[in-house]
Amino acid sequence: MLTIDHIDVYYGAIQALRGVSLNVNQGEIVAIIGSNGAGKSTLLRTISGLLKPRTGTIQFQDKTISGVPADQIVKLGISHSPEGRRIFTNMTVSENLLLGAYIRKDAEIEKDLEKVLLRFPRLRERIKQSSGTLSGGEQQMLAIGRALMSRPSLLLLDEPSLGLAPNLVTEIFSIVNDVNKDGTTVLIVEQNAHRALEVAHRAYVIETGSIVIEGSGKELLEDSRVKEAYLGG
Amino acid sequence: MVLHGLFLGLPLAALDIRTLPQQIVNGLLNGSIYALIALGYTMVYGILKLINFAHGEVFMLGAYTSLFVSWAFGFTPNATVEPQTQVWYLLVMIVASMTVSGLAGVLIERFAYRPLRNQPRIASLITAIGMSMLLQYGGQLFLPNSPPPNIDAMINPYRGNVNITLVKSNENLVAAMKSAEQTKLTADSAWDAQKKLEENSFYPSAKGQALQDAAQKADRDYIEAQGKYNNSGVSILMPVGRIITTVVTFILMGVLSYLILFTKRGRAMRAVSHDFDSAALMGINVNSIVTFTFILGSTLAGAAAMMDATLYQPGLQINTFFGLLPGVKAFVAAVIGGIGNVPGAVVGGLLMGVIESLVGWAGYTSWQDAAAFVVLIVVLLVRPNGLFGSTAAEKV
Repeated sequence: MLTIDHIDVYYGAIQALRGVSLNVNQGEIVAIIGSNGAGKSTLLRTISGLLKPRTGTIQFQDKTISGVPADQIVKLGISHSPEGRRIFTNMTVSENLLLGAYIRKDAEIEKDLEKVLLRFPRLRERIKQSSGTLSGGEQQMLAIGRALMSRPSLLLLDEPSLGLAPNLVTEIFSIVNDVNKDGTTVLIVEQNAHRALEVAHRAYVIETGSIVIEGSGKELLEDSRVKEAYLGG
Repeated sequence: MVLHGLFLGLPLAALDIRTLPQQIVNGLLNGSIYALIALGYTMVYGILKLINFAHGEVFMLGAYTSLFVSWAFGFTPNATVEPQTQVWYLLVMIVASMTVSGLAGVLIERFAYRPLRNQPRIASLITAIGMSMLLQYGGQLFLPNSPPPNIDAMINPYRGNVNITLVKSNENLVAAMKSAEQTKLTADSAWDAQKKLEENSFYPSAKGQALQDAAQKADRDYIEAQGKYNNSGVSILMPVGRIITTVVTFILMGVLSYLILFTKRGRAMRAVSHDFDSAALMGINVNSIVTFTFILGSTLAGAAAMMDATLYQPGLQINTFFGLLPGVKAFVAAVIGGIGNVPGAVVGGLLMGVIESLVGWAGYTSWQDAAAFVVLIVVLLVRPNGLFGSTAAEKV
């Protein structure tokens, strides 16, 4: 479904990704783990078009998407819930969700809104509230809900567990699982390696801009290098 | 009632409280033009975090467009026959001004600001000031500037006034006025009769002199009684052109608010103003929203310019600096209201108009233009985010 082939990404003169290649198959949950600054978010930002690779290509459903602007990539079916949630705190919860469906002109937006609200009952309680007043967990739910409103075939999640209490992290990951079961492919970036590897079918470890390890979620949970570096020994 | 007092150690002129309602209404009518221009500043700032200093010049180009259209309708300075005006002339003028101003705004954004979008903000700011000066001075090469032309006041078909009486004149004074009038008429005819008798003498006789003095005194008394009667009431005089300007302004502001708050495109504008990247991730084309914002702000300035130069102050002279002072004041109005905040710009503009009016009322007409900046300094000291600017912390 998504094939990334040897991309190099730069911020000005600084190289953030070095020859990264990976692929995501239809129906999978793929996790990317790594420490701060390893290039995880850069990778997602490159896929969604916010950054352009200097070399290498990204293919999505047999179309080359590297170099396509971000607002066009959403229309191809990739939805990105960015790092730090980046919800529109100047607007209400319902306005945020409707913006998620900005590219759509079909009649089923209302139906999908209802679906999202069923998945996140907390958002229904706060539907008319300004989203800046939501708690961190609620904001994360809103960010994921907003990303789902475009009916993506591939969902990119950047650090959905960041800064959340453990019970909320559990809730978020179970939702990710549900979303995947309903047919959405998920590419998730996480520092919380343990949780991410538990839900992921496959995973990649990224260090200083390069992929260093790849394997199934289970394999990586047992990999001694991963254990030592990311799972606390 | 007349008040005397001091303001910042400056003696206040006699404040006549009965003229206050008129002054406040003048201020609100005046402020609606500022509000319309301020909306352009505040919207562009909301989206790009850029003070578009060339906005006043977009306004100026709108005024010139109206001038050229009025010439095309035959209202030229050397027309031998005064042409008859039509209401649809005004519609053509306002549409043409809005179109040209809108186009100017879009071109300025496309060629001056967009290439600098990802550069430090100071670069765009200086470019904005440069663009403003380029149009002010460079415009003199192409636009009739000296002697400054003006739109023929006769193109405005609404030259009447609306008079609203707030407090009726005191009827008890009518009798006094009537008797003064009677006295005056009697004294006048007595003096007239005596004048005929003394037609041939060079010096008036003592009797003639006394009659003349009496007639003059009666005249003065009558005028005084008349003034007393008139001043015992309070009324507001509003030129119809200004009322139309204000009504159109409020309609445009209503349409704009609806567009921003309740339409999909308005939601996209607010999304872009909050976060470019997130907006792009929603599938919003950020560039087209920025262009749209410039079109909106600039067309409002074009409408304001047409109304200012034809309906609001008919006959006002137009030159390439036409937008300088209104532009700066509208900018201050936007800052007072909280820059980036649409209702704030409207309230700021109206407030600015009223404050200017009141400064004039207090007898400091020459300080009117400075008042804007005094208010700006005070507001920035007390509420740096403006009256409606948000200071609330957001959860992260």
